[in-house]
Amino acid sequence: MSNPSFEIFPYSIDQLKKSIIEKTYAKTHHIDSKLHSTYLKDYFDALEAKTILIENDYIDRDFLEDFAGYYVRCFTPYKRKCTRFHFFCKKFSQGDFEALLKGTEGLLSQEDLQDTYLGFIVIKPLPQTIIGRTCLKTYPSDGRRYFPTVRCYSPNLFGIPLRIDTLAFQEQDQVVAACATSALWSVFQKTGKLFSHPIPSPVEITNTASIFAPLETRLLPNKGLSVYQMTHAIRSVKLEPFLVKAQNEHILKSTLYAYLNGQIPLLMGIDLVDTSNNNKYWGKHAVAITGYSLGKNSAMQYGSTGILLKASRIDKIYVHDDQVGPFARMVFDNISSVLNGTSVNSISTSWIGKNGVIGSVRAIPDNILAPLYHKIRIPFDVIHDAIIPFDGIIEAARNNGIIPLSERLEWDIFLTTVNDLKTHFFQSHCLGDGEYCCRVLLENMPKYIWRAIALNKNKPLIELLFDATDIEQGTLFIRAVEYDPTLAVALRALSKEPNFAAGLRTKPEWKIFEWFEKQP
Amino acid sequence: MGHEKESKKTAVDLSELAQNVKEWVVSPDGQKNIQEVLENSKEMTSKLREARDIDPKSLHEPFTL
Repeated sequence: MSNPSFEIFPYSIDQLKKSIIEKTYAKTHHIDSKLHSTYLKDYFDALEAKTILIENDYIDRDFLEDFAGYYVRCFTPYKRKCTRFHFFCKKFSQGDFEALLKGTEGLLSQEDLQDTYLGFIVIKPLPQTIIGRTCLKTYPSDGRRYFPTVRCYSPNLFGIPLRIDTLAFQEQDQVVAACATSALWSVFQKTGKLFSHPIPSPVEITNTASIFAPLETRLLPNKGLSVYQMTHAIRSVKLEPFLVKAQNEHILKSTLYAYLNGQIPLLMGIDLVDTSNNNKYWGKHAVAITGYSLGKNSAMQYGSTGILLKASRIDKIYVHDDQVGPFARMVFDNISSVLNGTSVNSISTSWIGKNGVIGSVRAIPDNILAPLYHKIRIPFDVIHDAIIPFDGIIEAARNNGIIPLSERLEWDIFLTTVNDLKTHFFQSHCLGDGEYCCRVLLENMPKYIWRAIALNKNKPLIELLFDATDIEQGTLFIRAVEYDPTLAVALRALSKEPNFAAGLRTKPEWKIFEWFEKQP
Repeated sequence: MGHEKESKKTAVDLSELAQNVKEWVVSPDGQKNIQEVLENSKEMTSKLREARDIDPKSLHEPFTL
């Protein structure tokens, strides 16, 4: 029986491209020239895709909004229904799937489908920009890749419930959405769940962001949003934008690590230059940062105090780059590029330059934009800057042989929630099972908390908890969690010494030492 | 503290550590070290603050790629 509702093919990139061309207005040369084709080939090879199941006549809410907002009024009768391509890392046939739907014994079970599910791509019925909502499995962790911003999606395939943990991606259609809109859309996919706000479609994002659009440009077709317009789109979903310049690699890595671990995806503005064409400036581009790789074996010292951050171990970030694909790698490879005649730090991309080689276009990070719940008031830099002198004093004592630590402390600083923090303490038994653990669990704490964990050989020695909902002039510091007696005793002794206290009482870092001073 | 059971340090060791810390803090060397740390930290955080500052003009440049 041939069922027009779905079709099944063995996976190959050629089959995928052929099916896409059949379902859209796209021409072969358009599909072949898209970076997505190369990217998806490598991605599906890595995920070991074996089967494509095509769900015809799929209604996608996001495309429907875009359709109603623009395409319906076009003279060309664009279709409003999409096609959804599902991918599996198991071979099965049309007959196997039909047997499953009929409930007869067969080679395929519902569990098989879930276990081998790699996700889906919605294909939009447009001439060129055909990649709609895309939810694909992430790369395997391999002990170094982290994707803290993924959430659960629950597609339903003709009554068969499936689930996939990922973050949705889609390419800009260059009509209702440019790159910044697509990046915002991906970020809102997570923040919508995390902070309970409605998730707008691309056309809704462009419309709200463009309330303050320059008068000399059209709103639709949209040629691109500015940071100012992006912050407005963030405010429209009742979140607060936090913007920081991120040309400095230490600032970039530490900031993205801190917020990503709080499950908040970030937007990154970059400048692209073609190194194969005399560093020709291409323009500004926006991507959504969704994960990172801790590929470096050791942390790198930074600045005049030489602070060590765990974030400095990052060697790659994974971004939803609407011109490349989901979870696209950008590598910190210490190669400089020239921007406006100046040599600056750059990171690799998967873009193709004039020479036709992937990676010949380099990205120069410009800024990071975080969409935050309004109660997350204390930014990362306040915590980072408070840790610098605290760490410096411990290091001075260690260098003089006063505090017996074999290595310098490495700081792991990130945002969390009170529930995640206490669940971690309760389930990991890292505080022991006794009175101390109970006391920490029962302590009343704010909803959002900054954790600064001091590590020695990857083992926590002490942890500082800060109230992320406070004001900077407030107490800010909640408490320390003491894992190791040596450092705890040393800090208590240090803080209780009147001479030391007198020199620090007016400084922000005293808020931390003050807590140790008050301990028995 | 949550380490009573795991700790191999004796009370004597820890008390000696506390005493050493106190002596170091009030010693000329200790005070000099701490002063240097505070000055370096101040300089470093001030440079970081500058590096994080956004140029208001850049807020209106569109992302066009």
